[in-house]
Amino acid sequence: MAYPDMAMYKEEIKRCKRLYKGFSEAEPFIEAVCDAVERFFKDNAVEVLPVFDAEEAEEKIRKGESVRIAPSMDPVIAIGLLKAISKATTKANPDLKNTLKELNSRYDQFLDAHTGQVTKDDLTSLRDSLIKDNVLEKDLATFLFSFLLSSLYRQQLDSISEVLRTDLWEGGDCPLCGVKPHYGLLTQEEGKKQFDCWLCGTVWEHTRIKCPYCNNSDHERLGYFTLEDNENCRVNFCQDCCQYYKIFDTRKFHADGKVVLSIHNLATLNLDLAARKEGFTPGSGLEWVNDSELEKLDRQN
Amino acid sequence: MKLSRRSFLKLAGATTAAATLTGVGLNKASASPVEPLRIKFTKEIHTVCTFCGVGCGVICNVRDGVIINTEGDPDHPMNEGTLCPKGVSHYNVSYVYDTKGNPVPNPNRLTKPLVRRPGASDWEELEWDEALEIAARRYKETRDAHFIQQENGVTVNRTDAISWLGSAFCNNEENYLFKKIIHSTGLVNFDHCARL
Repeated sequence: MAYPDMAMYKEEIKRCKRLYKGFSEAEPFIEAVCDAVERFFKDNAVEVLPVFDAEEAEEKIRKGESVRIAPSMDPVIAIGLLKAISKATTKANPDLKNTLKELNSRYDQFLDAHTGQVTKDDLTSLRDSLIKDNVLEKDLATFLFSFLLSSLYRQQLDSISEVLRTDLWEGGDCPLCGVKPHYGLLTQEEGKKQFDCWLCGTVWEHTRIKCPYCNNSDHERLGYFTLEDNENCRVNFCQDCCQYYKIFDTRKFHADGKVVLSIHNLATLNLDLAARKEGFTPGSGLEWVNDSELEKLDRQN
Repeated sequence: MKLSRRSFLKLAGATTAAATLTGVGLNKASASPVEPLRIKFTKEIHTVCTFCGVGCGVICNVRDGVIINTEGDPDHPMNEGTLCPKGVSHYNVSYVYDTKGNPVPNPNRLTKPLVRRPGASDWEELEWDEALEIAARRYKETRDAHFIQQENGVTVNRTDAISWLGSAFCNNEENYLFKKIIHSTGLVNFDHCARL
């Protein structure tokens, strides 16, 4: 399957508009970004990872170890895609033109400094520096870089993810790339909790009443909250490690087939804000809430 | 640190221009205002269905100490998320539906022991200590009055006057003790509501 599958994305955006109040305003922005990614990959082929030993991976998984594949990336491709996503973002808000200028200059500096292959950590450092230098707020930086990294990872790892023995995996982190999840779903048929890796797209099942971050399974110390007017999305939290993740209950919105959870995640960022307000931090490390938003809430209280 | 006008403006511009997702239409606060009262906290509590001997896993969703929903536990090896028609109706131990289809507390659910005194037409609530005392006394009296030591020259030490119906709501340890009482007092008529 080509990534991103625009027909599927558009269908999901339509569904999210129906399910989540206020999401319509974001539609042009998300569509523009998805279009930009699709166009970019049409013009720039990314090679699928050639080295993958399925047997070795299975053995690791049986031992309870994540495969932790960390593909290296061509910096020209990575920055090219980042520029395309940033440009699409600016289209949604022309006021961001100056920001785009600054971003492009920082991207070029990064390119000058990295001539060989780059990794996720290199790009994450770039993200952190943009936040630190006040070019981007945390939420937009998280969006740009998670979209960039997930696009590149999925382009390279999709075929591996599909054949990985995730049925043997019981861990809380992704069996393929090793990152902590930010969202998942409850399956239609049995109500199983299934995580969807925000980075490489690998799907795996996890014990329903268990924290994926600290493995706490004491039901008295785990819980979830929903908003009164929308119970499609639960924010599951652990009172031991004080971290949260989001679970979309597909039984509530009768989803048939694949659900693009990254879109649902964007449509429910108000729940990330609520979780932070309640004192929980994202176990995935993805910061979707700005300090200024938290300060504003503190002032209101 | 000495700042030139140009550097100052650049810095000031950068301070105010940090771009956010709100600027592109993803407004977290206005999409759905997050007020404390709008959040509903729920706990998922593991339990085991007690309607029969299979012991299926059940998850009870509990909000403010009240069960709002029950469902099969998808991670339980016995039922893998499914429940039989009896198990599915767990919620209705606590709730029934009114004429409009809204759940209301089940009026038939006993939360205290009841007794109908000799000659009385109504049931009366009583404390557990008194209830257990009455039940034990009647049990002993009936057993003693109808105890058969020998039958056709054979020692039988039994009573046919009492029958005991066990409950699947009791756990293994409780059932072990019940069996002890049943045999030690000579009961031969005993059964269980879920013979599987």
